[in-house]
Amino acid sequence: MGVRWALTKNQNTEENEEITHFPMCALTLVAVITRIFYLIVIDTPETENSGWLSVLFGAALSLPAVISAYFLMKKNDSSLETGACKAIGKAGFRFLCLVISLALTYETSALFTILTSSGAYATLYNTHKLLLLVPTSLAVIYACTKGGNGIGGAAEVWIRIYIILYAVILFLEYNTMNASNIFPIFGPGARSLLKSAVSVMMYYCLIPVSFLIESGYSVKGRGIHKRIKPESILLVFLLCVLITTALLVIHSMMYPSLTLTSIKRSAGMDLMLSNGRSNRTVQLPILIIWFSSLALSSGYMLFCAGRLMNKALSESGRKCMFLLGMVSMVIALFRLSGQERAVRFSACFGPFLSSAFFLLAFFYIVRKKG
Amino acid sequence: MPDFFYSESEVLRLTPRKTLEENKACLSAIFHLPDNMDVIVKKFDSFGFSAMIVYIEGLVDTEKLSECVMKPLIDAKEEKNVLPKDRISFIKTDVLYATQVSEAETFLDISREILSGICVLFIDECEQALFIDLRKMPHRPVNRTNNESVVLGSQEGFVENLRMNISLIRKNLRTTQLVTEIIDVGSENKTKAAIMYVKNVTDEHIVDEARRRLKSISAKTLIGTGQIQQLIEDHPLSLFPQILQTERPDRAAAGLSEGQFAILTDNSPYALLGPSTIFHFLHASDDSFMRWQYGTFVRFIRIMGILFSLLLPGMYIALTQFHSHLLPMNLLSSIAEARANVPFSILGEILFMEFAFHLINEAGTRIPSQIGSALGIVGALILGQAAVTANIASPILIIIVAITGLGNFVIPSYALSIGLQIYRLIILFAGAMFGLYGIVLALFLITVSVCSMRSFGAPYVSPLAPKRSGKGDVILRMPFGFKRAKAFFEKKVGEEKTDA
Repeated sequence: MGVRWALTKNQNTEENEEITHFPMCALTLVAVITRIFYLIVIDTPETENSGWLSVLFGAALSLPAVISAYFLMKKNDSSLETGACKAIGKAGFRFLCLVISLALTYETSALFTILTSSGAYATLYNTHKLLLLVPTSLAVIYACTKGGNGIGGAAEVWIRIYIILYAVILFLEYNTMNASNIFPIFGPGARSLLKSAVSVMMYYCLIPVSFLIESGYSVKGRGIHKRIKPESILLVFLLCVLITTALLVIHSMMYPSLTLTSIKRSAGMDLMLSNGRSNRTVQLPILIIWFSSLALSSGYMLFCAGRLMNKALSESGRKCMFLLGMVSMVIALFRLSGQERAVRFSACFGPFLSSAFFLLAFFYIVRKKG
Repeated sequence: MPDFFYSESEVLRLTPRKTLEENKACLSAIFHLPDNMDVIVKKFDSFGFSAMIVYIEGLVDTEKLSECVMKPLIDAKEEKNVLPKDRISFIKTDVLYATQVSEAETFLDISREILSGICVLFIDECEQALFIDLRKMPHRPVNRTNNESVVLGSQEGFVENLRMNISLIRKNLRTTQLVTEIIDVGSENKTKAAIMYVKNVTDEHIVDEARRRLKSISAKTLIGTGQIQQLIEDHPLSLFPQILQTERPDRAAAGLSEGQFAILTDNSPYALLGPSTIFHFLHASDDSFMRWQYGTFVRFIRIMGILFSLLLPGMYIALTQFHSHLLPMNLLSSIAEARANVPFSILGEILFMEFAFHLINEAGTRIPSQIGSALGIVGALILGQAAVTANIASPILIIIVAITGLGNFVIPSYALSIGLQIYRLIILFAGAMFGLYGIVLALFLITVSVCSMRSFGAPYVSPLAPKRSGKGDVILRMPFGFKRAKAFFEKKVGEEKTDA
């Protein structure tokens, strides 16, 4: 008999597809805040220094979806999935999961594109994007297959690093911050702000999606499966709104408004990642936050997409994550998730997702009364 | 030539035979007698019947053997009233002075006990044998620790004797709740291992799992805790150690009182503590012996040292090759000047110096202490000063490699420090290929991989990630008054989380 490790076969992999309370909340916070911040700063620079208002408008628009999800959780013992199944049936729920999963696959590819573009912009000017895209995608796919609590735990660790790095940024930029930069409050006008608010809506609607895939934890010896409290969804939503708004206000105070410049991604990148007007020393923490938060957000999108596909098709979550990750890579490779397409997609999918959660609550009430 | 012949495999299943000749034949088959000369078989007469004692020379206290066993047996007068079947119990209760005496069952037990230093007494016409514990294993006395030195606190370290190590822990933890289970580990050459835990503090599920893993080890030979550690940890392919190895009885006692279990083995001066989180590997014993402000400061320095050790070479190459605009102009120009005559790329230069540093480090571990000073001369003069003079390395790189090395030495766990050295190389290559982008991507993967790990079911980065309630002694060394009493993996009253 030879030497073998004293572990049973699936001892460490059985919980790999699960994600529990704190990791899920931390990952959602990082992903939603990052995505909205980059949407405003990089993808829609036409909002100028009033992007934080778009965030608030977007929050107001997505509030019905969040409250609907809260209502469904409250009525179904903290299980959003049970509530959704009761509202539209198992088949309808599976279809909804499939649609959201495909949308998040596209969003993953948009994040791969932003990540590789900013990597190329800030670091590797002469490198072909393919050479950046492949390792980036493989790294994110690998991270997702390490499990929800792995990537969620990493988000918890990175949140603490972000707080320290952000404190460094504020310390270094304290003297250059100018409150007058945020004026006029309505900057480019309400029309532009509302337009980007519709795109913002999509990312706030990802909060209920996170609660859809949260798996809870079991209590040994009692047969109890503990789920997250419904109130947590409101708390996460509130934190996302407050932190994103605060970050954008601080960002607006750091840099003067970008009026009359290119509305391409490079304009925002130039402002944040190159020498430009940014302090040289401050770029190091900014770059670290930039790359890591985008990597975590890509991981979040891919993990959600995989878990939802797993719910829709009852296939292994890890297999789904791997396949969807490869699909995202191919979409990014063919440049089908560039800035304009990504913004247009979020502007369309945001209202869809918001109304989907609202309708779930509506059908739930109708069925219950019926 | 004996009249009986047994093969080794069949004899192990047998119980002691009726005649001494048969028993001797069995022992000859097992121990390859008479070739094996340190196995002593002595025949003598006692109480009018023949007896035979078997032991291994050097493992038994021969003075005690002659005083407590041989003398009372040989000096005895004939006792006609004792029936053959009662001889063993008579000798056990009325004759022998030795205190630890028990009866043997099979030759498998007999062979194991003889190998562990026990004497076995066979009596003619008795189908039984007696184990007499007169062990006197050679071992060094309790001494100072070699690898976990502390400024404040106890200086005692474990030794290579299991019994001594157990008593060292018991000396530190005087509670009736402390339980010691002895398990034979390994398939052929069994090693005695002790699993120690505190009842009502250590979670039973964790102890059950540790016991199960120990029992399922199928290695033929196990020498020491190092092998056991590799065979029972959750992620054998990971670069991070998941079971803390300590040579300090006070640290083992502290771990036990916080809900960890300890595994000790014969012939190993270390205890294995599990479940262990990454923070157990970053804490040193004297953190708790100092005032909380000093302890926190020292921990902060240690964490900075670890970060330098992990990131400095990678960051140097990334900043100089890809992000030179992030460096102040004065520094950039001095780096360029210093490197002007160096013929290698920055990566080649770093790899050369890193290799030289690892060589010195490894040589320092193996070199006899009498010629240790020569190593200092080689390290300081030849690889430092001479490398700069010969334009093989730039002075700034020498500083970077030196700080990196110092940072590595502040890590209290040797296993973790080696793991981080390998990660440092990975980050170095990531930085050389993709600059900061590569470094952040590598750090992202390392954090995900570390956060997904577990040690006997306990998340490896908890209570930080996933967040868990419990003792908050993680980065800051909190004042004792503010500390929560329980670690997150300790036994909870009523309920307990099974996953993260």
